[in-house]
Amino acid sequence: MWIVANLLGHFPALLLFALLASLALSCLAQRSPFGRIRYLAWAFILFVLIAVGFAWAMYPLSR
Amino acid sequence: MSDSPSHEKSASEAPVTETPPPHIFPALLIAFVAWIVPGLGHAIMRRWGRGLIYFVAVGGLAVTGYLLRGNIFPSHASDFFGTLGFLADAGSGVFYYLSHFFEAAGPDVSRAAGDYGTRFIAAAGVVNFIAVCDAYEIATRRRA
Repeated sequence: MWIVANLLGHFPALLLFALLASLALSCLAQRSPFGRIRYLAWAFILFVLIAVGFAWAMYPLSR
Repeated sequence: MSDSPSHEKSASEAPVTETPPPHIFPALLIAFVAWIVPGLGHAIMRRWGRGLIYFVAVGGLAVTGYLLRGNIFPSHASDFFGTLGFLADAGSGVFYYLSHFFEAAGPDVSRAAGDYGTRFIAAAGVVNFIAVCDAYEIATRRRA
């Protein structure tokens, strides 16, 4: 437990969340294997990009 | 072409293969099972891959959230947001009831990791609710 809490930093936690959530959403939204993989890739990329975008948008507020 | 006598005869003699209407009780039972154990509702209907994916996704989110020491909302919440949090957390079914096993030290939201864990746990429940709806729709033959 200590290992997970200390090794899973902010960005790895974001990557893991994006991967697991987009995995479930791709399974729900698409029925063909190829469609699922494409949806998974798109959802994962969008999760990460939007999260990083929001982080940079909020960066001036922390100054 | 389509009104030829031979075609009409074969069409009229063809056996009627209408599928019976789905019963509501098995669909509700499958939805209940899918809530208790994520992915089991799909596995019962022989959607093995989908069941495994939902189990891994919901279980991965919930267990990671517990190991990050996220907050677990109790059933007797004092405010509306606490109730919403409980509903989201309880959506992960058996993982909610195993939370004390994975998070024996209790929640710690004084660190960012604990706050992330709270979101992981809630997301696990919401994802499982969506999977339950999917299993119910498959059971009622609204989806393939």
